[in-house]
Amino acid sequence: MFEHDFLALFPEIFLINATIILLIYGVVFSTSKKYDYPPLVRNVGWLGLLSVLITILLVAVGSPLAVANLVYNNLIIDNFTYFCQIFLLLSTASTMVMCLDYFKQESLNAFESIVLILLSTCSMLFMISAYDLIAMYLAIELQSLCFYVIAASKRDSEFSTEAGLKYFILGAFSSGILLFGCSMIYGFTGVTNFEELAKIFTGYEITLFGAQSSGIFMGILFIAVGFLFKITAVPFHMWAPDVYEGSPTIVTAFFSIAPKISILANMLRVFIYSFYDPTWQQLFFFCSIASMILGALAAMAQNKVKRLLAYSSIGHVGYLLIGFSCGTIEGIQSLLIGIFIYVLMTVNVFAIVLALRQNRFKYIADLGALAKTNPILAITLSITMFSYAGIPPLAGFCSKFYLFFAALGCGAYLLALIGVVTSVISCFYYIRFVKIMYFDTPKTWILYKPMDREKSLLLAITVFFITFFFLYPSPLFLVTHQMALCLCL
Amino acid sequence: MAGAVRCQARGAGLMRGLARIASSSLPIAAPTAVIGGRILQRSDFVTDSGFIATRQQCREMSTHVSWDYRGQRQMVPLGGRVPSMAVDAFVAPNVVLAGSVEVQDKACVFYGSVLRGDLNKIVVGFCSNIGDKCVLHAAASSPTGLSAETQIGKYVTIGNFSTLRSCTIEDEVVIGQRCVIMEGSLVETHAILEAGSVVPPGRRIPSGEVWAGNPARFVREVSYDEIAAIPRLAEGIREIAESHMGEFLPFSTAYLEVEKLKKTSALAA
Repeated sequence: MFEHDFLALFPEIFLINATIILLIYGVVFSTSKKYDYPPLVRNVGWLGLLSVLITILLVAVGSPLAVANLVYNNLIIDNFTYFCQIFLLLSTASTMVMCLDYFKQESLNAFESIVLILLSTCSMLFMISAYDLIAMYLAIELQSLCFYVIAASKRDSEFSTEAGLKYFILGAFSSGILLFGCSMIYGFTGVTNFEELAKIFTGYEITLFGAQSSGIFMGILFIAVGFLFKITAVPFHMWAPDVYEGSPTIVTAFFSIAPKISILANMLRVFIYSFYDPTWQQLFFFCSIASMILGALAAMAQNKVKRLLAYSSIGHVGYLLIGFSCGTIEGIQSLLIGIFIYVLMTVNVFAIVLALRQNRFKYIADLGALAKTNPILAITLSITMFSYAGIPPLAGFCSKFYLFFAALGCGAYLLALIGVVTSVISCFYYIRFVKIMYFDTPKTWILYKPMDREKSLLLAITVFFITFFFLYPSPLFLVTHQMALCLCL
Repeated sequence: MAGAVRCQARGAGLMRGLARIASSSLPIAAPTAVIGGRILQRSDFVTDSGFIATRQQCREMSTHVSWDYRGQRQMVPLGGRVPSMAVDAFVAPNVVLAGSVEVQDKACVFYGSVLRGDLNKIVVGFCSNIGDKCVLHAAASSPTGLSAETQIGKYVTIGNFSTLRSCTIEDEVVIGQRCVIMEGSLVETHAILEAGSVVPPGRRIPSGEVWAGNPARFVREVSYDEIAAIPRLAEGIREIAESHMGEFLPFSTAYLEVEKLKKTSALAA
């Protein structure tokens, strides 16, 4: 029955066990009088990082040669999930690396945040490999529940509490919409499995059908809206800037890195594989354009760093959705390249934001004298910002270039045009960072404490990647092509 | 000797007078004092019985440690006040940072200086430098309404042998050698004090002016070129300090010598 599944699910099983053991360890020892109630965030953080790394190893060792359906066809393992899972775990590991110093600096004694990050990582692993509407929904909910809690983890901060509440209400609302969509699909087709759905929807032109198809149309619409809520695409983005700003910075980093991978992977599975049909493309087309425009224009007016990064991530979701709305293999491939590079750049930016968080680095103007006080960090941030903006030899340029190229390839000229125009506009606020650091004369100089070794390693690696990606891009192209093929064929 | 040797002169009244002149709120050890018609030298010690000994005699007869194999500590925490030093600041090995002293990024404190923040805080700002044998102190309170902290801004150059007490030095200031800046005085941005100036308590040196003399008087305005040169001077001294920094390792190897000494049992364990 399940005996083969256990072997295939070994990474997830390991991660859940590690999470539980860490939870027990943390609870027992942080409440022990014998050890004088030690703050265990750093210990649990290191152990959590270790368990994520072991999980990467376990996923990597179980390299799939073929598609495997698990747990009564509820989960699937193939090349797509394989690479997505490894990538997700890498990004979680980098978040863990960033948070090692954070909790100590903040004097936030909350090891349970790390346990929750591990638990949500596990749910995201399930989300990537979900092969059924119910499995998908359960994985999304487990992930969201963890997120609601860690968004509000800083209990003495009003912002954090507000962010948690806002995220909870809007997240629960979007999950409700998603669930309603799933139930409509189930009600009108009688199946929930993606493969069965794919069989039903093959050659299915929703708009040409009569009364029966409108239910399916509504179902797909609701599922799409639920997903767009989760990835903060534009008409459904309202919560993102507030939540990103209010949550503790490490949580913001995690929100803007990990769930983007898992939700986009899940969306690809649902919309490219199951509902392969041009109807939903118009919705994504619209969201893509709206996200790009809003991301570019709204970020210009921001003075706070985390809000600006939130709008910038909204804009980047817009660019990624370009690849999604094409629906071609090139489109999916460019979307995957785009996620990979976006995540690396975001890891870099948040590592910098966390490194600069003495005196609550909140406003962009606080960067003032960084070029004088810490020239290397200033160069790093400049490179990343240029890469976000899409300046030629950097990785961000490659990702945008392939996205626009795919859009042109499938005939979506409007998307490519708007993408180029908005990325030119967004140069304004990305390069404003550089202007502030190098050319402004600030009134107050803020001197920042030196960052820890883990973050500086992370920064060095990501900056190296961003700068020299164009010299040897073929591995990423091959991997993403393999993933796209696996999804479509 | 059974009793501990008191290494302080006993002329209490004289000392109080000196302390008033030095306007310190703490009793200080006077360099010289008169006991029993004999003028004590700095190196002399007075025992409980009034016996006056030279340092050498004192060393021979006392149980008091007269030679500490550790030398003088660079950082002396006082109570909860721990001196802090940025990782890229240069603080020479024989500098004493005591109490709440903050040496910010890229600042340099050269050989033989003493920064004693026992009563109030001392801040040495970004890329400022303090020359050899300077004394920075902070009083408990200031006669003017200003803060009694000794604050040194960015790109400040302080010459050798200067004495600063509870004053505020703003950004990009040059202070010549052997200057004395008394408590509550304020040296504003782009001011220059020439060598040997004495700034009396509560004096403000306005922005962009050159002052000199005892007591300090206005000399002239600072020229535009000089204003541009002040941060460059500080950066130049910083570069020199970096060559000094290259000569020191994060941990000293002196402990190896101490272990050798301990093996030869020259030191009591």
